[in-house]
Amino acid sequence: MERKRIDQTNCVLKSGDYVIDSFSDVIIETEVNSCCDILLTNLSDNVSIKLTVSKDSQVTLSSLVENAVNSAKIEIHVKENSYLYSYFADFAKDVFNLKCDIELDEKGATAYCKLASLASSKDLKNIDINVNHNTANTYGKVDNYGVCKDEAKLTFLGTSHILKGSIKSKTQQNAKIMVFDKASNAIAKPILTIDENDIEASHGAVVGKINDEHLFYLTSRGIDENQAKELITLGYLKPILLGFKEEQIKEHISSLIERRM
Amino acid sequence: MSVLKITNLHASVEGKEILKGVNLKIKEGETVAFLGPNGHGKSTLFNVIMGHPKYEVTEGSIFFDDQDVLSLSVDERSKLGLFLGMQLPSEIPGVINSDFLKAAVNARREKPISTYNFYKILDQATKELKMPFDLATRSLNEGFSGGEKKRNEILQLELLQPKIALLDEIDSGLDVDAMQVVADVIKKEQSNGRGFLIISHYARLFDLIQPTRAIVMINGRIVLDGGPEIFKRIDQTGYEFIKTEYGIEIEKEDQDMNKVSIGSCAVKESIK
Repeated sequence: MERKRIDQTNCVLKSGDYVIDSFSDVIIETEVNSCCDILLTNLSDNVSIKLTVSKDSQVTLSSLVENAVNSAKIEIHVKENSYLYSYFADFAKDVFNLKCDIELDEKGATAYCKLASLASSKDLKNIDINVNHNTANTYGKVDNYGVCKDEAKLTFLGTSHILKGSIKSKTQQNAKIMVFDKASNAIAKPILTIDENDIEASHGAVVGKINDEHLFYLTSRGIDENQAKELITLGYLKPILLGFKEEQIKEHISSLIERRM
Repeated sequence: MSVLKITNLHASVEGKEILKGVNLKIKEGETVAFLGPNGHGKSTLFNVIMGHPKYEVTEGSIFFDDQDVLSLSVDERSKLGLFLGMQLPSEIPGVINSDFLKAAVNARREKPISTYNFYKILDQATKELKMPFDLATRSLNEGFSGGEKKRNEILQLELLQPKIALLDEIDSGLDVDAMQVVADVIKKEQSNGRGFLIISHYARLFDLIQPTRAIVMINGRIVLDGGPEIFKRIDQTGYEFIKTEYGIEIEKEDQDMNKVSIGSCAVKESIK
């Protein structure tokens, strides 16, 4: 099905598939009890996007970033019994600074956020994805996966904040970066701020080179070292493809990964 | 017929010598039971043959026919026809099992296998091993049960068709039915002329696959090399007879914990 283009700065969406292409600031709200799939392509520089996932709704937000973006701000509010699935495929060149704030405003609000980032040559990237649990019974999970090579600098920040009164909430943050070269600079800092008891929270950070045991396992099956490294690296980035519906976009991302690696 | 020949092999890990002069010959087509107490170097020998980077060979040689194995990279050893079925196969997130298997199959072919033919042999092999086909589409070994990981190793053995397979405790974590399935595949591969060197602590697998020879490693050396009666005896009586009949002291694994505990005599322990 063809996606509808969102070309107003302020709109309410019915159920359906949409695309936002190279747009300036935009404020979107979904109808109550709707199901929307929104694709963001060609994110512009200094853009600000505000999205509200209304009651009993589900939104998939998939974003492919290829050009340099000095600053992008995304603010998402998730309302009662609603789901947000967001996917960021970051293959931006040179610069990418993303600040994404996910506000879980009402009970039953759930947000899953996955990001795959490839930083190479002299890229400078700062990814800051925050989840605020503003009320009880809210669920958040953030998984950031990155590959950092050459002289690139890649930073994963992000705070999951459980505010006072948000009992029975669950939150999880993972940040993993695979580092290839001596001059690469990678920082992973998933932070939890907890102001309530009776909640579940966990976070994990891994920064390191390719695991020797993994490499040994693959090469012991006859796969040469370069191809084994490629398979392991693709394994870091490729799961993001699941967030994109269109085959041609999946293929495009795959070819971006292969070209940039 | 290919022969793997190991001569006076010494190897160490992190400065500690584990293998202290191993001499061994394994022929394609024979099945050898590889026994010995824990911590005496069996797995180390397998890892050294395959080229694990953690182990350093300080002396000796490994030849596969006229090829100097130690001069080859890990993937070249695999392509030569050696296979290591691991005790604890790595879990590699994001690497899809079938992508990995296909890459491994293609690594030893001039022309890449067609997707249709690949899925045909994969389908057949997973059926033989009674594995759910969806295991092929999941991340490599990630979230697999102990038994599924071991079957996945045997699946690779079937797809890669090595000349000599080294299987490290392939039977641990398998239930009775799974053990039978794995044994059936090994028997089929025996009849195809593949060679096996198999580490196991239990006679059950050996009863099923009938090894023609048994070797025992103690203190980093092969101390016994003989017929299948050896593993039957060890299964019944343990390793004690090696000490009494052959006069070989079995070194115990390093114990960091204080030997003196409640119930033991500190004076007796100190004069031991």
